[in-house]
Amino acid sequence: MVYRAVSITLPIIRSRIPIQVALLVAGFAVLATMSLTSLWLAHESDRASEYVAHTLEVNATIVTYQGALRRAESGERGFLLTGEAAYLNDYAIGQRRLGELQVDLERLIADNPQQQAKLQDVLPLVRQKMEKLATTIALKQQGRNDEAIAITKSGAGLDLMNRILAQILAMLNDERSLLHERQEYADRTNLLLFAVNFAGGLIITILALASISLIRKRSHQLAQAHAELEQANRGLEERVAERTADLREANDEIQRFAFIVSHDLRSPLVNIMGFTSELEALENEIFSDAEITPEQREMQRKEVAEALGFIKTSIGKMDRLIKAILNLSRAGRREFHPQPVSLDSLIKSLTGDVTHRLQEIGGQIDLGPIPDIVSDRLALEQIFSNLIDNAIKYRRDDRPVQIKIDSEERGNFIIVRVADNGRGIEKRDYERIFELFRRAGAQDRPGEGIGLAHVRALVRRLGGSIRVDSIFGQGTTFAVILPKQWIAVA
Amino acid sequence: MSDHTSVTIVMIEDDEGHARLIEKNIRRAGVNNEIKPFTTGASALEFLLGADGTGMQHAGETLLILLDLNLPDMAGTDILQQIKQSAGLKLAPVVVLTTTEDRREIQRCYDLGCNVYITKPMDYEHFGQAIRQLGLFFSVIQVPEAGRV
Repeated sequence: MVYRAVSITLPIIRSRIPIQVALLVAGFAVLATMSLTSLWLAHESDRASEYVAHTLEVNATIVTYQGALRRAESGERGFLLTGEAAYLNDYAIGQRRLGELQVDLERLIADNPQQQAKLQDVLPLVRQKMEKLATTIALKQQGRNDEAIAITKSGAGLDLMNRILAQILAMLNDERSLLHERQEYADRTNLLLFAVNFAGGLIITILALASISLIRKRSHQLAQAHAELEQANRGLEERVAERTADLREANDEIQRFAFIVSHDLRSPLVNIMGFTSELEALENEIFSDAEITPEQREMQRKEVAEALGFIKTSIGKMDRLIKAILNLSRAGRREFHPQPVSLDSLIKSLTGDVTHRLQEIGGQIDLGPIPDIVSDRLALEQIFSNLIDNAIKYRRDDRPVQIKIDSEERGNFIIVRVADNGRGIEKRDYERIFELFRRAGAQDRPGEGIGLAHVRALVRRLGGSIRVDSIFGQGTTFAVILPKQWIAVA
Repeated sequence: MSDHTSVTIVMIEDDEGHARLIEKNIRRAGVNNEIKPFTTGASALEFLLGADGTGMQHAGETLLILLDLNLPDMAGTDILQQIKQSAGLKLAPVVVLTTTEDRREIQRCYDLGCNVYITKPMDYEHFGQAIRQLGLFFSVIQVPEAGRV
């Protein structure tokens, strides 16, 4: 039987998981950063809008303040011109609104020291203006029209008003530039928000693409691993089939062996039983009191001798068979040790051993080059010594022995051929010659029918096989096929 | 048809002891026909089939063949096949004698045309009986002449 190591290499999928996790974590980090930044930016944008609204409110209040001053002034003018009390109402409303709006304004610009300073500059002027207005109105009410008009004509009021307006314009300009600034900030914030969102989206898309490509790569690897596994499985099935065939062959051989052994051991037993029975029959004759002639006596003696002779021969035969079986069993149990063997010099030394015999009977051995192998030395010696012995033993007496030994390398095996020019083997006996206790052809040479059975068992244990090819009457070639590197399997 | 006393028994048996026991028991059964013993398949076939391999040289004789299946030089079934395929001897009765009790082997012998199959029993009484009965069988059966078609 041939044992070969079954090795299946499962593809190892290198850990892609950390990269995948890293991608996922990076994705989440980007998302979180983006969200926080967006939140902050949205908040900033809100605040900017609030500032803009505030600025607009401040602006509106300043304009209304200016309007209220104007209303108070126009009320005073109307009263001065017409003396109608209705105008005084406008004046009063303007004056009241001025007070209210001043409070509003002070509250609104509490956060702006510059505007506060400007307001503080305006307020005394407004107070002076209002005092002037109050003075002219009081003069008018007292009927001192000329005096009142004279004050108005003096231009001091106009001048005051212009200074106030200039100051208010400055405040409005301040607010306008502030508005501009804040609007710009709001725009910038919005732009940044957009940029952050866009960049975040881009990064996440890239991460997603990388993930997808990784997953695809991985699933491709998985599919490949799956395919390889399937192939390994198929290989395994083939190995199982091969091994099953090997086992079946071994089993058939054991059955044939059992059959042969039982038959061959039984054969002498039949003789022993048979001739013992013959002796039993003779016993009664010999020990009877009947008178017998010397011829009859002689006859009895002969028959007893014959029976005993057959019994002895049969016992001897059984003994030889049992010894042969024991030897085979011992050879089968011997442990084989693979070692580098120079097959060339091994066979040379074997042929050296038979040179003397060959010289006597006439003949020669041709040796071709044979490569070195790793195998069991003793087994190889037994194999080739048996084959060379057979080649000489089954020679044809009418011509000198010609033995040719050569070799051929084929893959991991070498084939060693031992070819002779002997009597040959008939095709129908190709299997029989390898069977235990069986021989073929004319039974004119000594032998027990063990040699080739032993050779085949050895060759098989060395992981090889043996074939025979022959032309009856012309010669026989035994081809021993052996692995170059035999590995002992426990 | 010939008188059965002229029937020649051809015994192919490599074991001399077996051959002797068979002969003794045949004689004991009162069969006195000539017995031609052969110890190898090759010599027996040479005698039976002749140089031309047809067995026609036995035309006119009547032969009965006792064949041991386990011969040293060739398989008994091969001998049986050659006898049963020969022109001259295909009708000659063949009695297969063997220690084998393998059913497939027995079936194969019948398939090849063997007429009687006897296993050599370990119990000598039975063996003797079987041979004696075979002897009686010889004395009553009509053996066809060789060479008949």
